[in-house]
Amino acid sequence: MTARTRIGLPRAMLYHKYHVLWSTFFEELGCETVVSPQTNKRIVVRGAALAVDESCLSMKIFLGHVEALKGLADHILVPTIASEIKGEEACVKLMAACDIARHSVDDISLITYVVNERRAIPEKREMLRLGKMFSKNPFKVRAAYKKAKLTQYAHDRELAREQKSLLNQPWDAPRILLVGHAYNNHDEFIGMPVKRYLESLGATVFDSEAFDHDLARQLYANISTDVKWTYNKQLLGAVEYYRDKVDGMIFLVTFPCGPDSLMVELCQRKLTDVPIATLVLDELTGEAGLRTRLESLVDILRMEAANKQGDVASKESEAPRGAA
Amino acid sequence: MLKSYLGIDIGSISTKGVVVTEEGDILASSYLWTEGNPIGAVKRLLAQLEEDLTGTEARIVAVGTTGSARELIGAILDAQAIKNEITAHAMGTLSLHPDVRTIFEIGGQDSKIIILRDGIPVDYAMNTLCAAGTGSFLSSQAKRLGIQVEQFGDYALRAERPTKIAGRCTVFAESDLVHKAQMGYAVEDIVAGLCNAIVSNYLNNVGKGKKIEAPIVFQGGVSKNVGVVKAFADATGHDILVDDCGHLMGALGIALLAKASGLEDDFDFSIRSMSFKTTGLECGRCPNNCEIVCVLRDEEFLAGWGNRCEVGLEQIMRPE
Repeated sequence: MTARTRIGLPRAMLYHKYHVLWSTFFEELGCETVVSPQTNKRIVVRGAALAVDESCLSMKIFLGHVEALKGLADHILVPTIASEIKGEEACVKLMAACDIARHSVDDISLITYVVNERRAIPEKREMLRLGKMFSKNPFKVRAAYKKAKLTQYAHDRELAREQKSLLNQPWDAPRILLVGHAYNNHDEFIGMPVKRYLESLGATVFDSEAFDHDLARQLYANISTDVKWTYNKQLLGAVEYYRDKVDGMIFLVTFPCGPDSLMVELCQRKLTDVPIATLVLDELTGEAGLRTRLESLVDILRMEAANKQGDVASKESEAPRGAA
Repeated sequence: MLKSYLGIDIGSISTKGVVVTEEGDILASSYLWTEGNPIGAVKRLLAQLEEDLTGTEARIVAVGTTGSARELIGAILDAQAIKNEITAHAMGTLSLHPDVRTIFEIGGQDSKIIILRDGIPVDYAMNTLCAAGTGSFLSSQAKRLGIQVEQFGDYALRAERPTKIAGRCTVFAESDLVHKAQMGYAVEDIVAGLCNAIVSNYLNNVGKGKKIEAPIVFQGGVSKNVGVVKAFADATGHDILVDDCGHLMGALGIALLAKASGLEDDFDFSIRSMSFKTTGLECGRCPNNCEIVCVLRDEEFLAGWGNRCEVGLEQIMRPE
């Protein structure tokens, strides 16, 4: 009996959306999954060195993660997601991710599955094809896919449910929606420091990703029907849902993201009823400037909330100390 | 005894300090260059303030710090309030102009706009990556033209036909300026053109999409330049208010925030004679390799920051 095949999952890009699907699928097929470590400085620096200059920060980080798995996995999974829903698209970087990784990092074995609904290539067919690499038994592959889908679905639903329960708590702290792709919001280098810093200032942070994607698809059209990227539609749906349930929103964008730049401009023009701040991050971002902007945003939201209550006194009794 | 509050604004170029009474009246104030040494600047500042306060009943019961060195100085002075400069500027300005609706601020290295409605800040923006149109840009251009930056405003006001200068970018502005000088334009017209360029750059970048309504208060070092003030008035069509103490607004605001914190602790000027040292070290305990800055008071660890996690700092505080 040989050792189990090790499947490497780079902790970047769509991992943050589909990690439950992937790990369940491969583990059901008897493989072992290996995940690259949380994004750290070394991964960012290596990724920036491997990527072309024009890449977005998220893509640079992705390449750093792929390289970090070198030698630790027999195969590295990078999906090729071109279009998940007929008539819509994913960012071209996601469509190209596997090819970019192949040409940027040497001595790795990449495996992929293609999703391109515009050309009638569905996820299921492609994942079953991929699964047959690891099991000769088609029933086992089918069962693995089914279980993976259900587990992922339950995971997403649980995240959305947890976040929804936050809405039932008393609205006594500023509520902020962090609008960003899963791979930005959940990255240890990009979004997590922002989330933790906001929470240290006493804000309640909502995540655009921990939101029912089916509901998002019903809501995004209230803002615009002209966005063609599936993932941006999901974000717009969350924005629409939360616009009257939060005090402010922060758009977290990695430089130079094309789809997001359009979405941010769209929201800045159309959403006049909720304060919006935009953070555009690259690998050189200094933390001091970030903190100044986030702290003053939370201050403003607090003062506005206090003003709305007509309670001028509480305006001055805000958190006595700034960042510790 | 007169209860009073100390506010210190430690910027990249200058350090400002005020002592205010409970009513918000300024008892003493001081303004000096940071010169790349915030701790030294604050010590000199405290010396001046202490001198101003001798003979009065004033006793400082709370301290606030703002500006880019707020954490460092806040740790050293054990400040009751450590706040960003946007909130501090807004609070300081509101105490003098309760009806202000727009604050322009152009400092040494950054520029900001704060929008206020009904006495609370509702929106703000800061310059992004580029320092075009800030104080340091102006002083380097003054050097190029061979005039003192303090005389800039007077030159601009004397101009008859301000020339057009591309203010989009420092590099282009500079080559444009050289070109205009070589073409034979009068220095006055070039200086006035530069002031206009700064204003249009500011309004198009920092002020992009913001609803600018009067009363407008203009602050920061560049507000001392009458040429820029006039250019702002022309561009917005409103009067621009510039206070004599406009440079103290951040310090005043943070003093008021220190008071509002409700925390009190007697402040002792003798802190001035203690020795403070900062050391930077690379943590090296994980691939992040954070650069941690530590402040030592009389060789004893006081505070540290720059770390993404707690590991490095704990190690420093409790070395084995």
